[in-house]
Amino acid sequence: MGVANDRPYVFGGQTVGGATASSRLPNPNLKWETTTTFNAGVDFRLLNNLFDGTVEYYKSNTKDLLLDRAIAGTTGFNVIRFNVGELQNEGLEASLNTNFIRTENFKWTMGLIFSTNNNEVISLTGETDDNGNPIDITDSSGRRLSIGQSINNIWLPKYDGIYQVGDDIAGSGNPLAQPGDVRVIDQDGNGQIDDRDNVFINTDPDWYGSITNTVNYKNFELFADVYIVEGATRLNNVLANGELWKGAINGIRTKYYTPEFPSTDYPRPKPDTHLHLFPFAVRDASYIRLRTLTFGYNLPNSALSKIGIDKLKIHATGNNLLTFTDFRSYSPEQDPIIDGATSFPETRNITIGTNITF
Amino acid sequence: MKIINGYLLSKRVFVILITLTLTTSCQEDFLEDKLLSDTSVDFLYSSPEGLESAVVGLYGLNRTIYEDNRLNGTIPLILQGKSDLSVGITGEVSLYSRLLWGSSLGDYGTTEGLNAYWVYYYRIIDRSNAIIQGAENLTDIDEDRRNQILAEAKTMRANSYFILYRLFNNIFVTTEPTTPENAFDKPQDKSSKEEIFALLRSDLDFAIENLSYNPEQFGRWSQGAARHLRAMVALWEEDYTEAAEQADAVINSGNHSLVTTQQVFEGNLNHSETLFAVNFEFQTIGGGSPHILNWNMVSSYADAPGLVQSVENGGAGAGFISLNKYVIDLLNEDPNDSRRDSNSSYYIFEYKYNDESGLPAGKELGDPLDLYVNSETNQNEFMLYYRRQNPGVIKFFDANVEPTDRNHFKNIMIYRLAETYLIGAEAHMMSGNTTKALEYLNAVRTRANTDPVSEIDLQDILDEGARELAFEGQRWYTLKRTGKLYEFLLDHMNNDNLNESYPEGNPKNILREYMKNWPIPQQQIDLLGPNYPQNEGYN
Repeated sequence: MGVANDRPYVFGGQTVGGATASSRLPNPNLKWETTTTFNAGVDFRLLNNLFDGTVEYYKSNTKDLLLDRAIAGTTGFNVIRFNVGELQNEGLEASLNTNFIRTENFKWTMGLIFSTNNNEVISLTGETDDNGNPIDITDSSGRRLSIGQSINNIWLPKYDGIYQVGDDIAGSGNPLAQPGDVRVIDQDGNGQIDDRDNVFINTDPDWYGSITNTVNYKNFELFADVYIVEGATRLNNVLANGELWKGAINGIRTKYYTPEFPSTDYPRPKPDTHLHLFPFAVRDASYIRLRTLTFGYNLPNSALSKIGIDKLKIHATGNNLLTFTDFRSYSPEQDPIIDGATSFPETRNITIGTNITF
Repeated sequence: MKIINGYLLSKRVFVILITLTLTTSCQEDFLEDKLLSDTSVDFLYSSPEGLESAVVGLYGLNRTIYEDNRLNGTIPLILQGKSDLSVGITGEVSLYSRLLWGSSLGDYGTTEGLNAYWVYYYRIIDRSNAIIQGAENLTDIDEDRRNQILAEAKTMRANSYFILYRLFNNIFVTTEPTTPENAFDKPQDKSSKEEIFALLRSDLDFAIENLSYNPEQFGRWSQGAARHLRAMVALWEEDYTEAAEQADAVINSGNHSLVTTQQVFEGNLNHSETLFAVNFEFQTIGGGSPHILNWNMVSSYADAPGLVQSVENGGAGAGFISLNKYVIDLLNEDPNDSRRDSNSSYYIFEYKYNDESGLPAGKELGDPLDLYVNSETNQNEFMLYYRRQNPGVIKFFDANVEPTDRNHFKNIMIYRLAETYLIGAEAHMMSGNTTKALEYLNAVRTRANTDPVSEIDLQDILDEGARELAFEGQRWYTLKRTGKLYEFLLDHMNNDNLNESYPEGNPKNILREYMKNWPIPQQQIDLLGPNYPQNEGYN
């Protein structure tokens, strides 16, 4: 279906109605995606309920992905939605509960959850280039799909450190660089950094999971939930912002490069935007977070029955209390700027409450 | 319960059938969608009203490049930044002057800025192709109406291809509109110069035959503009006879004449010198989004003590690019040059003190700002001079908005008669007709209150073009056509004190002859055929 957008104009100050075909080329052959999933799982209980858990393996194949595909600018259109290729998600989910201690006054259970997922593009259009290699597709959000790679990836040159005094700059990928600039790997060694030096980096985590502990002692209870993400990669918007290295905006404090302190981790401040800030900003976003901590106390029945209350529980809960990560931003999952607008960091909450049952 | 179970079990067949029908997917006709509103592309190309509406859409598309304010409004000013008349002081547009952007395949200036030209103009071309095909195939339409639609669409197409050719050289031309069926037929090779120019000539010749000198609505393509374009196309083919003929026709038509330097860029440009202008209008449907051209090329004089932003001083300015020493010297050659005057609508040479509270000692209101010196060597000094005191360009200045507002709705002059005169001068000179050439050159000079000359050569015409048409987006093309681009840039680009100060090095060392053709952005070349030729020098 070809849609036309309104596009009025003024001639000598007078409005005249106009229209023009939208930049999205219609596709009369569009059809739905189909996903086929295979699931196999085991539920188990062992040793008289000491352990119970599940293990599940899944493999999910989606065919005829609905993707926006960029079209040659010479056509006058930007994008077309079409069905392409096959995507596979394969992974394992496991959970284990251990009821370590179950006595009259003291109970302790620990729960573990573990998830891992491997995403892979299995096939695309089938077109190959001159060398017989399959052609990658870039969708309209800028994601690059390539056979054998995850659909969630970063495609940029690889960061290789900071140029230092005494390095062979003239022979590197960026001969005009100065000490303190960002260096990336010149994969084809031709003295120039362009698309051909880009590599794929999978941004999905290797695995993630949580450790939950519940402890009950007489009328007290304690609940702690720790969430772990390992192996995730992310482009750090804070580090990638050229204005930060100009000193033009607020940002994180870094030990940046100066001739007196030749840092190997951060580049030098300069009045123009650094080249290759995006590769520089690709960082490990693994983290461990104390997601929830709850401490509660149930008033004993003996005290309550006199007042006419059935149950009364006082609790204090903290959310998002501690995060350990190397990723320097608001948090490993929250950017200070999203789609051009500034955003708030994830909040840390502490709630104190009571539950009363009459 | 047991009875029901037993019943179901005995009717196993039915149970299986029901399960089957419930789990099979929907048939295709449930998924068919119909477009139920009027504005479908079908309507646009299959009725006279639709086609006329689509033609209006073309003007809107032509305007989008000026409304593109990304990167501080750099994109519509790339040609100005790259010309030999501008000095790149700071800001994104200056990166084009310094050749840090837009001079190699991998840089951001190419993938964002140069790419915009490729995409915007090819979009205009495709929509024009569709209109032309629709109009040619329509049976139930009055001939005059059809020809008007075709003439406007063909001029728009020719203008766009002409721009793409002069920028990117290795372009691909087609008159077939894009459909889902042919969208992935990748062009395998560029079109030959002969093919490109044959199309330009045929489109413009048709337009000249069918357009009026005075279109009903200001801002539409007119015969004058089509002939002006035809003359430029002829110059690129070194067909000086044709160029001279077309220039003569416009100049002698009785419909166009030069106005005073004060009037050229005043108001909404609806006067006898304008051949084609892009229209804007503040807070009006169809009035477009504002542009920030003026802000880029007026100095940030209000940072100096004793000055605040005002209409007399050219409004809000950031001082990113401006007139360089070469063109300022050319303008200073004749002491009476009215283009330098304070009431000229071209340039602003003096910013006047207008703020009582900040006046420095010994200065009065109305005195020109002269606090800063364009030092040869002291970077702190000359940067202040460039950013706050360097003469600026006010050809795109909107006097109707608040002086502190950089968002302007001023109509943008694209083609005007002064340029036709210079085209005619060059064409007649190259044909040996020196008298006529001098007549045209002196017409422009006299209008600007400078002394007429009695000798003419290409340098004189280029010099007058620099004075008259600086920052209007045509200089780069003219220098490329006459083979002078590399030489002139090497001699004049930016100013030497700035060239020496740029951290990545003097752009004169980066400049290469092959940069006269813009690199085709990598993301575009990737989508073309595997052997589509990139311009020489970019790999």
